[in-house]
Amino acid sequence: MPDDRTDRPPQLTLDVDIGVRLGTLDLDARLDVKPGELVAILGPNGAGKSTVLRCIAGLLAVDRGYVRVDDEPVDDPAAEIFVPAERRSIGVVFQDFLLFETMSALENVAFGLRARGTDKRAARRIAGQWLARVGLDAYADDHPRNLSGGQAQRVALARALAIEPRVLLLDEPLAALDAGTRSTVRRDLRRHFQSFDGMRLLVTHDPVDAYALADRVVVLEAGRIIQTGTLADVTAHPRSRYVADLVGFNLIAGTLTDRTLTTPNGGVVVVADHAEDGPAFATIRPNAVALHRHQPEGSARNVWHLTVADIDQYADRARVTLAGALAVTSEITAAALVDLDIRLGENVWASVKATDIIAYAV
Amino acid sequence: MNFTAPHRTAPHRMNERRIGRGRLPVPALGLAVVAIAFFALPFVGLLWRAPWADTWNVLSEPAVRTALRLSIICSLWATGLSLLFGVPLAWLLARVDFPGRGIVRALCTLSMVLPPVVGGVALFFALGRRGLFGQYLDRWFGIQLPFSTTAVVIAQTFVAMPFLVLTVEAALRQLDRRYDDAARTLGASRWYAFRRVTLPAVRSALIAGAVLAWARALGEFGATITFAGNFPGTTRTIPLSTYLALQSEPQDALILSLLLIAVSFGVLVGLRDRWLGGGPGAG
Repeated sequence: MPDDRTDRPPQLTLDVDIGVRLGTLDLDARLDVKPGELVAILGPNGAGKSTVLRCIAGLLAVDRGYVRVDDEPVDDPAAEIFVPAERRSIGVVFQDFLLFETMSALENVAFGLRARGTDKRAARRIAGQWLARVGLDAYADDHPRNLSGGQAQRVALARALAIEPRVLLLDEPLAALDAGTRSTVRRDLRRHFQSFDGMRLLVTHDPVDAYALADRVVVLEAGRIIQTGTLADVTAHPRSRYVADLVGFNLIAGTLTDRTLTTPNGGVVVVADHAEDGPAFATIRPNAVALHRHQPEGSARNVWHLTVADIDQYADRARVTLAGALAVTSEITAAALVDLDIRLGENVWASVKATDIIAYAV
Repeated sequence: MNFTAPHRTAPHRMNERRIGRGRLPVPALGLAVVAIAFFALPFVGLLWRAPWADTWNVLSEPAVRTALRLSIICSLWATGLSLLFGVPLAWLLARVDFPGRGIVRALCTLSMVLPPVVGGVALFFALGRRGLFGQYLDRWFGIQLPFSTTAVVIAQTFVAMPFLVLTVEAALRQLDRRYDDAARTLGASRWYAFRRVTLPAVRSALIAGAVLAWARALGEFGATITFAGNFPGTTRTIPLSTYLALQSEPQDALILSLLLIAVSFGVLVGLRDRWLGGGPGAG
């Protein structure tokens, strides 16, 4: 075919194939992020998650492979291309935010604009608008040390977005926050993300973050991508013991009223936890979900009649994915799977004790 | 009979409050007091003998005035040059990994531990009229450094800059380099990041280093008299005047000494923890 490359519409994606050797880390990961999409890289410490971000940001060059933003290579050793961090259109929110202590919140947000040549007055005005957008206009003159963790994170987000990047990278955005503020911050983050239509990639070791924020999950382990897909896919079909353990719980979204969570499909989950009424998550460990051929008579508060949608065996364990009024995965031993004679498409009873369910506000 | 256990535990509990970390064994405490006295006594001696009534007369003598002005101008120049060259040097030593960095650091701070006279001799043989580089300065540009005010500034910079370099280098080392990364992802060039992020973060160390360097330059004697000589109006700074006065008018020497002591002491008290703490948080 005659040169069709020039006619091909540009691929407006972040497309990376990163090969890096760094100490004991041997990273070899290929992934892409589409506009408006939020992908989470999920993996244990030392898996190479942050290295992926550093390569995309331009703080580290790849040894092999490429980094392309909107089909434009910014790092490609084969073609001897390397665009340094300061000339890439990539915003980064760092793990502990790295706000400049010698500057006010406003100056922090204005920093990128000033560095890119915007005059001082305009930079401050735009920075002020960004601070207002993250609800911190009252804190413009405060120095980072006077901000709470959640506020500092919003300043860091505003600072990264103020340069209007094509790609937003977030390194463990919630790890530096204490548990009490996480759910609030997570909700704020999700809201702010919706106003950004670029490509978003976040790194986390916490599956709850991945579930709450990401459209798609990439599981990275020891420098290799083990799995990719929605968190529900990944949970149902763990491809390694790490994934099975890490993503080893069910997340059920619904509305909580008086310790009863109702799913959009009419499923009802009774929880023992006291959580605020309103939109909420319930988490259940798969091994807390017992399966029965006949309706159980025990003390379990939650008994559901569901359809077997999938069965996945990993070593001596089996994961049975159930669908219906609510979706839940049960983990049982391979022996129990045989004993109960569970088959795809059949209806079975599942039971969970209310005390085995953790509920929290979205 | 087991008497060790109560013997060990009971007094320990009773004295728990008093056995603080600040409590020294008595012999060490005694020696420390001797050390303090060793440093304090000479100054007490000076203060005791100082002809307070003549202070103003001596300080307003034209010769003293000239020396004082020269000292201040030269030491400020030396401080400025130390900042100009010392900060990039500190940055290089702190941030750039290169072979022989330890050797380079030792070389650049050698003048701190060298007898200043030796530094002056070295400068003379390097930059003097027949020196390794000095001969070309003379032959090509007609520049003769020794025995000029420029030589005073060079001698002072030579001994003073290491104080600034070490102070700033320590602060740069303590700085989290990821702040540079953050600045660069925001579009800052290395130079912009250095100016707007790195330098402000080590501001207190910069001030401390500059003040220390200034105080050292102000008190410089050995290298100055060797390399720059002792000419009134051009190279005779206050320390040189003090030495000279000691031969003829000891009273004047006393007063000039007190002046230098007051300045140095003021600097050290003012800096206190800044120098020792070093890092961005100190001060």
